[in-house]
Amino acid sequence: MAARRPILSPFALWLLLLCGLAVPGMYLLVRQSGLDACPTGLNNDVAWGLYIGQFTFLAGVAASGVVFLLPFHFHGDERFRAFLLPGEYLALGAVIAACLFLLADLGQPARIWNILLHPNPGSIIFWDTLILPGYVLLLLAAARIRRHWREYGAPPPFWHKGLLTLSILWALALHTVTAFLYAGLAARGFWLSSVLAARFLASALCSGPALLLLICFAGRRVFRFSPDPEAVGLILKLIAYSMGLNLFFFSLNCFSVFYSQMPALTAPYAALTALSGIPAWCAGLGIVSFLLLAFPAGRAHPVLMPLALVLLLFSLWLDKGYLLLPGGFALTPLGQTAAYSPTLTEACISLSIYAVGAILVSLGLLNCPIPQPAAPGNPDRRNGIPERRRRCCPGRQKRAGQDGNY
Amino acid sequence: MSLSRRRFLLLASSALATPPAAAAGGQYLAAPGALSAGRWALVMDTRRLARPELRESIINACHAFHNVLSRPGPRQMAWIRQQDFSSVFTDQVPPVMPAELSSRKILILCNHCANPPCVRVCPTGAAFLREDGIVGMDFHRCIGCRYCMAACPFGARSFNFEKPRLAAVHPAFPPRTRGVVEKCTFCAERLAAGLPPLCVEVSEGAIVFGDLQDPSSPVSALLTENFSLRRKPELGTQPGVYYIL
Repeated sequence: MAARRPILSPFALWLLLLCGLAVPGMYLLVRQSGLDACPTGLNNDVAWGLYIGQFTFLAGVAASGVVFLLPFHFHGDERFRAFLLPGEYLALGAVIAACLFLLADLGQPARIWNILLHPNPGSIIFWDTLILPGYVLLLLAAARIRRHWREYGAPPPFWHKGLLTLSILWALALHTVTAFLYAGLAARGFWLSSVLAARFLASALCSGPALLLLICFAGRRVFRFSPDPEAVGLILKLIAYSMGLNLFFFSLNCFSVFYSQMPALTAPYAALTALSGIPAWCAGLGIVSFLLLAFPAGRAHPVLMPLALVLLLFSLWLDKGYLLLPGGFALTPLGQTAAYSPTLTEACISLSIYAVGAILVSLGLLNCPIPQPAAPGNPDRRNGIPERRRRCCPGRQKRAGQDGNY
Repeated sequence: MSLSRRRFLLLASSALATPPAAAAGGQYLAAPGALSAGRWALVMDTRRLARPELRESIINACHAFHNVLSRPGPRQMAWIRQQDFSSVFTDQVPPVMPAELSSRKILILCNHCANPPCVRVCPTGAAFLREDGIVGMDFHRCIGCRYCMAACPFGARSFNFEKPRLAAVHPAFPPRTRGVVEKCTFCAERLAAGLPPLCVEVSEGAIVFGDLQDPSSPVSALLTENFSLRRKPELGTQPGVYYIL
């Protein structure tokens, strides 16, 4: 007797869970803009908090989503083909969630068009407002070309490489501009460092691919995705190098701060570390995960490697999402220490925005079948469209069979 | 008319690239009888502000006039407030100094910098620099992003975290809405009516206001006779508020 099929597939359950997370937070978010007592931990000393931190972290994830375009399109490295679409969908989900975090943080979200009606090109927020939707459009255009190419076998338009180059440059600009949001403020010694943008890019180049690999491992069953082990190895090396650079840049910053001993630079660090022990944990986790990934034995280990990725992501999230903002505001302009801890409402809303991003990424991954490498002895390299869909969608199967690309 | 997807994308992207139509530039004319200056500046003679009652009366007058809800706590709104010498002049505190000075409370407000970081970072121009040196605030254009609060090195700005609930509303200066940033405006609306800022008026002569570019103005006279300090001069914002100690 055949086993009964469950009513809901694991994927549907996952989506339901995400919706369950998203809905209450969205409700709270709508209420937040109507409530008199704004339920955040922010105050007049700590102007930005959890939301802007998540925006910064997600901008990094979004920027690194297109990192595999480079080896695939410009160096013809076929091994990265399987990661192109997931990367773009991850970037899309992340950049939309980042926009939602920015909106959630505004005191008067309905007035957001004032940024375009009365533009001030000297303001970094103005550039962020242009770059974020532009990135969404670029990603959608790239995905469109790719799908067209895959489904109809139509050759890509002649300008597609230009578009892809633009999207890579755009991604770098996106995160550089995010760093400029902080790195140009004379009032905040904690952020006032030219190495901040470089550090942001380095940490982005490890956070996005690490998240992507974890998604691929976790969703192996759902998406029937078995990435090329060689490509996984290369990506792990990329993550290790980027994390190494991130730690190196951080130490460069620390040298300038603590060797110069300028109070304007050292005092924020003192204030932040006086408030909690989390900075030490963040640095420790970062170093441990880097060491685990730096050695071949760690990268090859079936348990240590995913664990290292989780630790790495957590330390990067602590760095950008949790400590960067309170660090900048830990020392008030009057030289006092200002503590910030997010409220439950803030945490719920953040979680729900993450859930919205995760829904987008999940639907994207489900919608776009990911090519599987040919099994040994099986010459058929058909697109990796799940069997189920091939059966129920013969037309698609036919089209898909026309070429093995995308 | 059918719009192909390709054409839609083309149109959408070109619409995005079109520069947004800026508001047509009009011209503001000064009201007859308005006070004007090349560079407004405020000099605070802290020696004459030693009496706590005088400082309190200045703070209360300002906040009552401008409908500032000044409730104690980390979300306290303040256009003008009093702090210790060491908090005001954070980088200029000698290890040994007169006890009277170190315990002296000093009034702080927006410095109306000549090179204001808040104006530089404001994405909408809600914070703007006037030709007479006043850093103005358009409470109706502010989107509440609080970038100016991150950029201000003096902590001069307050955010309306909640809808102001005032016991009595002073009708001449409407209360702000929730979700916008506010700060001292050097009483620009009073200057337009030919009146000095309110803090100057109630300070019994301890606060002097005038044109720094006019050598015969009271601020110029006071600053040539007395050595003065400005807050955080090393940041290059060029504050317009001077302190005589």
